[in-house]
Amino acid sequence: MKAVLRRLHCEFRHAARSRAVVMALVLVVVAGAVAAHLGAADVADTQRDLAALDGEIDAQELKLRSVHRADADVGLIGYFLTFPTKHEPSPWAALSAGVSSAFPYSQHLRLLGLVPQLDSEATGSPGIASLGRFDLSFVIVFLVPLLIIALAHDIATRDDELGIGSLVAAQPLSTFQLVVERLFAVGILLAGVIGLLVGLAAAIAGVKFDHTLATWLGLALLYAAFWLVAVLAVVAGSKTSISALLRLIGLWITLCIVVPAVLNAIVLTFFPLPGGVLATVEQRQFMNAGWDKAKAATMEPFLARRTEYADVSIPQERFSWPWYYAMHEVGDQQVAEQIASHRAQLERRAQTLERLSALAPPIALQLAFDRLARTDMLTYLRHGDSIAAYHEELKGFFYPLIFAEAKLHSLRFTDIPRHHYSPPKTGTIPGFLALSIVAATGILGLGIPWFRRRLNRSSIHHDD
Amino acid sequence: MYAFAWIDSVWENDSVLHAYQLSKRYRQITALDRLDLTVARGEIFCLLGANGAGKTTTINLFLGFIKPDSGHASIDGMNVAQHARRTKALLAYIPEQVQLYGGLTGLENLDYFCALAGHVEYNRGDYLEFLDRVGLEQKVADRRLSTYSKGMRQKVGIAIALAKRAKALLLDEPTSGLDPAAASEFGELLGQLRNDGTAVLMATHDLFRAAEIGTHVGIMKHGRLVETVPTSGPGHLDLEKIYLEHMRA
Ligand SMILES: Nc1ncnc2c1ncn2[C@@H]1O[C@H](COP(=O)(O)OP(=O)(O)OP(=O)(O)O)[C@@H](O)[C@H]1O
Ligand SMILES: [Mg+2]
Repeated sequence: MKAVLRRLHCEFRHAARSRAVVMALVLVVVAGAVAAHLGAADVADTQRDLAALDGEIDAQELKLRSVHRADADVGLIGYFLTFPTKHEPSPWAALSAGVSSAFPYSQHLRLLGLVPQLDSEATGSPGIASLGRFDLSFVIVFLVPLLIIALAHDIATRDDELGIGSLVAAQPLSTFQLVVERLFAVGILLAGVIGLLVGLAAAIAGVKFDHTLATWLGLALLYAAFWLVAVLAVVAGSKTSISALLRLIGLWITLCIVVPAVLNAIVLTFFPLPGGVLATVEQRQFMNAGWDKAKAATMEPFLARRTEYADVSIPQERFSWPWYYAMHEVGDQQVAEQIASHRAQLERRAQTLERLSALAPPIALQLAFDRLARTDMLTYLRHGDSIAAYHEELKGFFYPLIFAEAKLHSLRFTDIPRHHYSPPKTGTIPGFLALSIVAATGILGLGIPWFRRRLNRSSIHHDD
Repeated sequence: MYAFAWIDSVWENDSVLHAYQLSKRYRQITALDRLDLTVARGEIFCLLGANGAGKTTTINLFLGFIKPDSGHASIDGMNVAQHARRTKALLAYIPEQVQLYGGLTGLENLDYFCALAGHVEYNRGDYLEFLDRVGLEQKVADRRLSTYSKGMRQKVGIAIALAKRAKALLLDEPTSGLDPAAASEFGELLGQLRNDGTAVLMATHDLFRAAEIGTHVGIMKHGRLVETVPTSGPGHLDLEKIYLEHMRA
């Protein structure tokens, strides 16, 4: 044991003497700090913008009351009003942006038909956020393995290449043990780097040191362990450092770039989206056709759903606000099924991607981080649902006023429902994502007896 | 094989390095042909022979780097092929070119190889002493190895052997490329090790040095040890004559 510690000490000294190694370590930590800083600034901006929305309805009240007469129809006022929606980012979003940049954190909703307003939500495709945002998760998922590769690709071959091989082989220590100890030294260095990265980033982003942080740390260490075992597998089968390096980079490209792209392609092929844009167009066309139809053609389907307004009489020959809003809602209804199946398809896509991502540790980790940060696709689908629910809530508030032909003076702006979506706090990661990384590591680990034989045989063996 | 090892250790108490009918073939080439050889404590056995005679093969068999086709090599009574690790703990090795980690100092390299060999009992003072014994003073010991000459690196190799307290020292042309003064100094260091009781087996092309520092000289040809000469007998000129006669035969 003492000898092992002494050798680890020697390995650290050896690493510390290499300017390239020190630079790489520093660079990754700095990259993580910069990423965390950028992410934190982004979240702070978002939070400031969201806070600024608070007074918006009040500001509109002032303006509308000054422009319109007190006996203006609430229907007219409802036409001009916009209602800000708020998607409060979790502080962790600073560290793993996920798909958040594909979706607005705020929208100005109107009382009119919802479908055309949902454009972005409806068409957004839930890809795997690969090589996307430069955030802490990017640093851990993509840069940390590169660091491991840079530090460890030559642990089995460097002595031979420095001409020290025979002197090392003459020592009473098997190559396998030496390689594993060196890998362990790299592991300790990496654990330090990861700890520093996560701790520093957490401090910069101002997240609490709680069990989410512990989960982040645990996942990152698990992921590093996967790469360490992968390095062992590759160096055991490589005769030179450069061939080990090339193979490891090949593995990195495969797992970090090729597999995500293939999985995306598979999901896009097997879960095609029948076009949210088409539903939007159809909604508009159907709605606009309402202008030329008899009022009853609009009111009948509307009242079938909202029987509480059956007694309200709608003027047949002229414009009226109840009819106008009914026309919008009927437009939504016309494409409701389409929208629902579209929404369901998006959910299936997201879920399938999540399951498939268990196939490659980098995506599994990325997704787990996104889940913890609540920036994953499923969170955004729920966000879309909350906007739909809010729209419904707004109608629940305004319809009784509009159908009763209430006037501006009776409208109490403070009673208008406000939107605030705070992604569910559960933030638990699907256990299978962590398990899949464990499994990948374990499967590679099964090869250890073989790696051992390869390594011990390769040591100074002049037999052909 | 066990029987032989047992007999070795009982009967030849002082014998450290022992080869019995040691043979190694590479396809058509017989690199080593039934070599019998014994090096006892305090002996320096020099292997002479033309290029390809089998000197390095002999040393590599003692190191366990290659496996014999028949016969066996043993160190302190232990068969090398069966006890690779335990025999390695007993020996030190100095290749033709001692290469070490250029980024570490001489002392740190010594520390590194002691750690590899499982020797953790030394402190800085001990290391400085070992290095001083081979003629590397503290100022040099704390310099990076990339600034060392070949002679200085070979000395670090000897320091490693000292620190390992090796029973046997295997050297493969350790003085080739050293200037005469450095080679002579190197020979003196070997003499010290011999006096400490180390058994030394050295492959060399340097007849003069072999005659001067060796206690025995073995002449190899085509994988066979054709003659063993105790150096107390002939002077180096005679050795050259014997050598050349064998080569011409
Ligand atoms: N790995 C190998 N594969 C095939 N033949 C080999 C191998 N190693 C050595 N040989 C052959 O075995 C024979 C003995 O080689 P060895 O290296 O022991 O000679 P040597 O006495 O050390 O020569 P030198 O003075 O050149 O160092 C030579 O004919 C050599 O070609
Ligand atoms: Mg040789």
